[in-house]
Amino acid sequence: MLEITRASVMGSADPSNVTYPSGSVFVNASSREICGSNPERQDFIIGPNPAPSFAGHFCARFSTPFQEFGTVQNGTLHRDERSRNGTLLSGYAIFANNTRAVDVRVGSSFISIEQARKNLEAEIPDGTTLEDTARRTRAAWAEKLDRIEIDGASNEQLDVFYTAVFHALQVHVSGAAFL
Amino acid sequence: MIGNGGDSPNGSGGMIPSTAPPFAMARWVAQTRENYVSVTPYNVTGTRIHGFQATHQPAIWMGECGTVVVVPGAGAVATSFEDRGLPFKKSTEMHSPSYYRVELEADSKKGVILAEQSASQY
Repeated sequence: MLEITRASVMGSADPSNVTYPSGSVFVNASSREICGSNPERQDFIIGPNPAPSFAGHFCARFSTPFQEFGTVQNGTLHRDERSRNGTLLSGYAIFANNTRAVDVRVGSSFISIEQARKNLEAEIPDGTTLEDTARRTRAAWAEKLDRIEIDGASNEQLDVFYTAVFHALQVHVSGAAFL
Repeated sequence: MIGNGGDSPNGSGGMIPSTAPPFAMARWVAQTRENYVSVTPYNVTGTRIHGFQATHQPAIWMGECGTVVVVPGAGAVATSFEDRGLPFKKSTEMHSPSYYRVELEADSKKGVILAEQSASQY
């Protein structure tokens, strides 16, 4: 199941104070994709600009054919339904009983579902294994962390230091070439 | 796991052990609770995993935006956050910036789901 929209907690004072962002989900059994858009933005109460077109878009592609699929809204399954808009929204797929492994690759974008699909096809195209992606990501981290050499620190100190560098480079920056 | 200890906003550094390259647009992490301003999606004290989330939450105080959660399961589709949470043993977890794995107990009859996760830039 891909959860697309949920009850979103506003602020930090009271976890029961929620709003319900309305998004959309698309389930395509022939392309084995579940895609969607979620306009949730919890920091909107902080800034002056409402950003009414904002949404996170996703395109998830599965390695295994769907035996059953549909949408879910507020806990109710809508079997065979291919798209739906609204709150508390998910898309689901069920695989055959003897399925041993399911590979799912998800592209994301702040522009559109089409762009999320393009990002998926550019970064982790069909045939890419999890191991390939993990190896490339690991190499990306090694390239950054290997720029710093340290002499004379204990293993614990090295853990603390390199974890701090990892944390410093974790969060995304804006202004990428394409989103 | 540095910066993820403690259960309350003031008791935790607000860091998560996500998988993604440096400066990734979305970071993928196992979801042990619903995240919002002051609460991270993964915390070491969590006992169930409710899915794998692409989080855009940069620091705990900005909250989440435009997120999606991939929820594995066995048997009937569990639609609520509570119902879809699967227990796991911390000894089966392996964290790294490029790879995460955990064994989820789908049901005492249905067995174990081995979940492995990695991520690219977008």
